[in-house]
Formats: sequence, structure tokens, C-alpha cells
Amino acid sequence: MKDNGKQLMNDTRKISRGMVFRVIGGLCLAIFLLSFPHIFTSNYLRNLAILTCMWAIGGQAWNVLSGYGSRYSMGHAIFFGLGAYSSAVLFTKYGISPWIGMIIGMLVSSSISVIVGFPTFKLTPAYYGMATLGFTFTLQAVFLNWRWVGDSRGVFMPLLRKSSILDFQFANNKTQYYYIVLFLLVLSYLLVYKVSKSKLGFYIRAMKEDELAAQSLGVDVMKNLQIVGIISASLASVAGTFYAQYMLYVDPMSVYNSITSNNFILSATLGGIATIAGPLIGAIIFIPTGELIRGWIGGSGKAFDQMLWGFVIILIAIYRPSGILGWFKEHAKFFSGISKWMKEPIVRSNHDNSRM
Amino acid sequence: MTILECKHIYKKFGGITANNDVNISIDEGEMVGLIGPNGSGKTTLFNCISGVYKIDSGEIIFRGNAIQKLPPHRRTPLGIARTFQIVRPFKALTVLENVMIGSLLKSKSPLEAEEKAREIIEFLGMTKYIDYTGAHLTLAYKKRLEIARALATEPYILMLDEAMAGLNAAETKEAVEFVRKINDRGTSIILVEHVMEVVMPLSDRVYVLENGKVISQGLPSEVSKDPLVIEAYLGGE
Repeated sequence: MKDNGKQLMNDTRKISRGMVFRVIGGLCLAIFLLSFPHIFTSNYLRNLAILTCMWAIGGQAWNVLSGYGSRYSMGHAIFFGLGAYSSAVLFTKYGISPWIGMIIGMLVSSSISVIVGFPTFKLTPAYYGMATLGFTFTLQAVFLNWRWVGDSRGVFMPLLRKSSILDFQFANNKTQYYYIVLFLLVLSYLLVYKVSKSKLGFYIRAMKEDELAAQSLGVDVMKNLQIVGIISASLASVAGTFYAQYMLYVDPMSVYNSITSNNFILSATLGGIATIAGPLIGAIIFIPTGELIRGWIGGSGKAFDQMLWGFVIILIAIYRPSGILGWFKEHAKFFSGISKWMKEPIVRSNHDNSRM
Repeated sequence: MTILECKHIYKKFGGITANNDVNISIDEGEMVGLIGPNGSGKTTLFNCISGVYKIDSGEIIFRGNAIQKLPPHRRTPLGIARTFQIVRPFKALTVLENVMIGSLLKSKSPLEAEEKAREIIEFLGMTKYIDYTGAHLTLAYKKRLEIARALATEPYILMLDEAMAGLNAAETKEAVEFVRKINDRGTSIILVEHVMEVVMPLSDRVYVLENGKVISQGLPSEVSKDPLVIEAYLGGE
């Protein structure tokens, strides 16, 4: 019994301010996210939130392969597009539920990732980028001329005018879409978090630093790259499926496009590559601002936000390659006072006194 | 018992034969020195054994199996580990994480790997630097980190490529000490050095390479008296 008491004391001593803040902060965030569509009832804001979450999933997909991993993809639109088309075509042609379409899309994207990866993962990171960029436009050309998938007209989803989870369609309301995308977002971020803490996570970080050294320690570089590629492609594909079901329309020009890939790259690099929260933070900043700029300038200034973001990418690459979260890490000293205060235990036991 | 045997190894780069009919063998628990002037093919031989280079002809037999066709990452799990002449630590990873990459190979979970890594780090006296990133170590500790990382893969044979080059006298002495400690645990070691003074007292046996050929082999005391070796090091008339 005495031992148990001691154990308990040791445990309570570990409750620091930081843990309390984290729990409270996490709860507040969860409540805010869950009640978002009820607080903000305007469909415009809901739409922004949905798009932000969708691009944040895509950003995380890119982050797995190109942030944690070492191959800079410039063509994640490939997997986004494949995911979008898989579910759209299966739904319109055969009435297959988009949820099954989502899984088939993931399988298709993964296979394409493996096939593309075979010759291209051997290339140095920059050339891998070129190869994927090129492949994006190859797919664009293929889908523009492929009658079965609706060639240049794209695929229109039939309007059902009734809400159905199975058919992934909800009439008159964006709330359900918001919850679905939030669910997918949480799921994908949990997955990436798990991966980053696993054997695979350690290996890809090592491979990013030095592939030859990793190999000499028994790391199968190609195999690990392929696994990471599959995870990354699957996540991008999920974002694509959601896009198709949300927009109810897909066409080759809008998905197989470097702008799609750039949205992924920008949300991840802006927030901070190789971090879990990075892509989400990046997406929260740049998707709404992009939409606002577009609405604000409008008309002939349509591409202005793209120009601006191009400029931002250049600035990040030159001045802050580690992104916003990287800035916090680099200035850790500045925050060390706060973090020390946060780490201090709230409940002190007699043990502590004896140590001091 | 012979643990590693290289039979008639040939490796050519264009017109240059870097390894010309090289035969060496290492017994279990033995410490073998591999010496020779610059450009004599020591590092090439290392790269052939560890699998970075594919050999042109010959056989590499490790614990009874021919391994010359395996890629490097399939040779390490069998029990061959190496360090690099030019250090290659994972710069952004901490010392602990660096060593964990090695120990993950034969661990089921990162947690188990961390335990093993901590043990090895302590064994090599690097506990003080456990949270330093690879980039922030001195050369001596970078080299030691490489050894720790290689040792974490639990090898039968450890190949050290100039693990002591560029270190000062005190650091060299320390390095010699822990290399001996590793050997005492039963790990066979191949030591590449071109500094005779380091290899001779450490090694059980020595091979001398020149122009890709083994010109002499045997006990350190015998080899250092061999006229061929003296000529290779000091130059002929």
C-alpha cells in the first residue's frame, strides 16, 4: 500500500502547467472546431473552413513524402486527380458509393505512386520534382482525350437533392461536408503522427539526411521511399475524392494542374515542413487569404493571388525554409522562459524538497 | 573460426585496378589491420565488402554464405557494419536518434531501440552529448558517433575506415582504448589506417596493400620488417 502511495505521488508530481494548458487548449480547440458551423452560419465561411481542411489534408500528404521524406514532389496533383476521378467516375457510371470510390482511389493512387516511384525515386530530389511535374501534365493530356472519363468536359455528379451519407451528398447545407472533412483531417493527421513516431518515421528522417549512411545501417532506402510514397499518395487521393464529391464536378484542367500541387506545397512549407501541425497552420493562413484576395480584386485580377503566393514561396525558400513552426523552434531560447514556466509542476510532493 | 573470407577480389575503375586479386580472411573475435599508402585500395576493399561497390569478380564469404551479390542494406542485418572515412552523421538528428537508426535494425519498437542506443552511448562514453545534434559534435565525437551507430546494428564484424585519422594524440589514445573495448566484447574488427603507429599495437594480424595487391601479411612485428613493406612506405631506390 505504501508503495502505491509513493507511485501516486510521483505521478501527480509529473502534472506540469504545460500539460494542463495542453489539455485545456486541446479541449477548447476541439469544441471550437466541432461547433464551428453552428457559430458561423454563413455558407461562405463554412466553405472557407471546408476548403482549408481539404487543402490541409493534401498539404500533409505532400509533407509525408517531401517534408519528412526526401523526394520533393511537384506533382501531387496526380494523386489528388486520381482520387477525384476514381470516385466521380465510379459514382456516375456505376452508382458505386463514393466511400468505396475513395478506397479504390487510394489503391489506384498507391499503385501509380509505386510505378512512378520505381524509376524516379532513384533520381535526386530536384529531378524527382521535375519528373512528377511532367507526369502531371501527361495525365492532364490523357484525361483531356479519354472519352470514358468524360474527356475535356469532365465529370458532372448527378444532383440527388437529398442528403445521404452513403452517396456523399448533402442538400442545402455545408455542415455535413464540414464534419466529414474534419473527420478525414483528424484521421490523416493521426496517421502521420503515428508514422513519424514509428520505425519508418526514424528511417525516412535518416534517409533525408544521408541515404548512403542509412543504407550502411541496414535501411532499405527504396522500400521505405515506396511505403512513404504510398501513404502520401493515399492521403492526397482522399483529399481529391472529397474535392470531387464537394464540388460535384471534376475536369482535367482543374485537378491535373500545377496550381493543385502548389497548394499542397505552399500549405506545408508555409506552416513548417516535417512537422505535424505545419500543413494545417499553413492552410489556415493561405487558403482564406487567397480566397479573400480573389474576392477583393476579382474580375481581371484572378491570378493575382497565385502571383502573390509564388512570391511568398520564393521568400520562404530564401529566408525561412523551415516555415512558421520552424521559426518558433529556432527562437526556442526566446520562449524558453515560457516553456520553463510551463514545465514546472503544479503539485509538489515531499520528494522534490529532498532533491533540492 | 573464419568469419569473413574474401577470395580473389577484382575491382576496376576504368583503366585502374583498385583491387587486384585480393585475398583476406578474418577470424571470429580477431582484430585485423589493413594498411597501405594512399590509393592502395583499402577503402575500395571496404566498399566491396560492405556492398557499396559491386565486385568485378571473386567471392566474399561471410559466415558460410556468399554475399557478393547482396545490396548494402541486406549485408548489414547479417552482421557487417562499417564507418565512413569521411564522417557522415545524420546532422539534424541528435546523438541518441543517430544511434537509434542503427539499433532499430534489430529492435521491434523504437522504445526498445532507444534503450539499446542509450546503452551503447554510455559504453562509448558519449552520454554527455546525447542530446547534441550530429552537426554540433567535434570531429572526434563525430567519428565516435559513427562507431556507436555501426555498433548498434549488433554486428559480428565492424569495419573502421580511418577511425583515428585527424584526431590529436589524446583523442587517438581514447579511440584506441574503446576500439579495444569493442573487440573485447567479441566483435571482430577490420581497421583501415595508413598510420602504422596506430595499427601495429592494436592488430592481431596485418595485411599490407599496395597498388591494389596484398604485398605482405602476418603478425605486426613480422610485417614491419618485411622489405617489401618498407619499400612501399619509404619508397624504393
